[in-house]
Amino acid sequence: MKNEGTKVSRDVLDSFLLELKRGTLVLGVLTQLATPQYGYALVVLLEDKKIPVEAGTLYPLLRRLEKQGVLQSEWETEASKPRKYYQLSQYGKEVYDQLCEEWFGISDHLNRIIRGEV
Amino acid sequence: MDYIDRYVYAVGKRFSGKQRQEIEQELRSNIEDMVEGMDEKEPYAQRVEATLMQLGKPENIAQEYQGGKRYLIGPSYYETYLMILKIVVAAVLGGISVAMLVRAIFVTDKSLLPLFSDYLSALFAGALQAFAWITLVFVTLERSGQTKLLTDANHEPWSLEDLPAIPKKQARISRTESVVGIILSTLFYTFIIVMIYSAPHLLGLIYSQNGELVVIPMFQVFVLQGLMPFWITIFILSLLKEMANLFFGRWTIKLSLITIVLTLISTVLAVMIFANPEIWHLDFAQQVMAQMNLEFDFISFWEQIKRWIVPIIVLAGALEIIEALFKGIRYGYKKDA
Repeated sequence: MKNEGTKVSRDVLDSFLLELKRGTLVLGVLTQLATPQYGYALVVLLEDKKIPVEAGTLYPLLRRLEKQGVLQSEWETEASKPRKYYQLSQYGKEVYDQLCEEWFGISDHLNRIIRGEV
Repeated sequence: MDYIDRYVYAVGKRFSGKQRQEIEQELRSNIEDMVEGMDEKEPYAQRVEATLMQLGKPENIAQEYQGGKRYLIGPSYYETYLMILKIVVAAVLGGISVAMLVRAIFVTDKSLLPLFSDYLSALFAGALQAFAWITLVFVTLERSGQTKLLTDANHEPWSLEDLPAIPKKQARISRTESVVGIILSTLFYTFIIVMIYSAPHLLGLIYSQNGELVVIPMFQVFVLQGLMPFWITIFILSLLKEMANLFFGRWTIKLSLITIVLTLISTVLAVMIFANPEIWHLDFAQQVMAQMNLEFDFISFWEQIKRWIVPIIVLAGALEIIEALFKGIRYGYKKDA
């Protein structure tokens, strides 16, 4: 009975966690794109920094962000194999800055509420 | 290498042209990077397998590239679609059953097997037709979802003023009534259509003679069958009318306009059917007179009926249009509702 209870709450917790990660995904990706990166390098970078992202989610996301004008890309063909490098566009930088500010606001407020300081 | 090729192909085949080429090229170089990034002590084939499994189903990646799910009939219509589909298919099967039963009563040859196989194939064809037409209607709705035929646009700015007032009782259209309307008109028109198609000679005056049922056909079989598309269109229009009622749930100007247009078309079609003097069987009245030993002049009475049938259809259509117009204007304006 008790086991069943913990199992259900684990499922619920997982789904909330998934939502939370999905919500911060774009911000996490944008943090690494001040300099040009290609898809797989970005996966490794984010994983090293403890913000793991599914490769299958990341590659399409990069393309979508490019379509929205947030990223710009360039094919690097001089290396042994061609790679597509992504980087924040001018517009993307502005978006990123504002997004960061919002993030600080949200996380500050939430942290303070959680800690009972407000 | 084989698996990588197949994987890239499985994702890319959902795209075309330059887009496909780009997606495939990028995905391939990422996959190769991932494989190289793995522990080099593992055999190559195993690294490929692990990489592709990690990427997940190609369908999902392709969907991500497409930027979200796409529907033939999306969540906003799906429930209604299912409901209408069930109702109409059930009613079509019902209408066909009644029509085939009528036909069976008049079969002199008592072998039931051909009749039964006729019945089954009619059921199958009917259900298929109903399914196809309803699906077509809803797919069209889904496609035009961004234009605003039946739903108000979701993305336009709105104010509290846009909230429709709770409709007065008279302005509401009962859901049950619409559903019953769908059932009844499906039963009726399916019956008519199946009869015209498979046993048009049975549409007429039926009487019993020496314990045998005899029919005096009222219609000219071939002319009636030639007008089949008209009947089917009238049927579909009447369904569309009831479905619009169901969607709106209350009288509005828009619903009123839709009702008026649909009624206008089906009235014109009905007039075209019955204004054609050739649909009537030539000596229906004479036969009735002769067979039934009537004492009054049925022939001129029948002439009168034929003369009045078109005006009655027009009058019925006009009444419906006037009602729709009245209710649309009376209850359609927000301030007045």
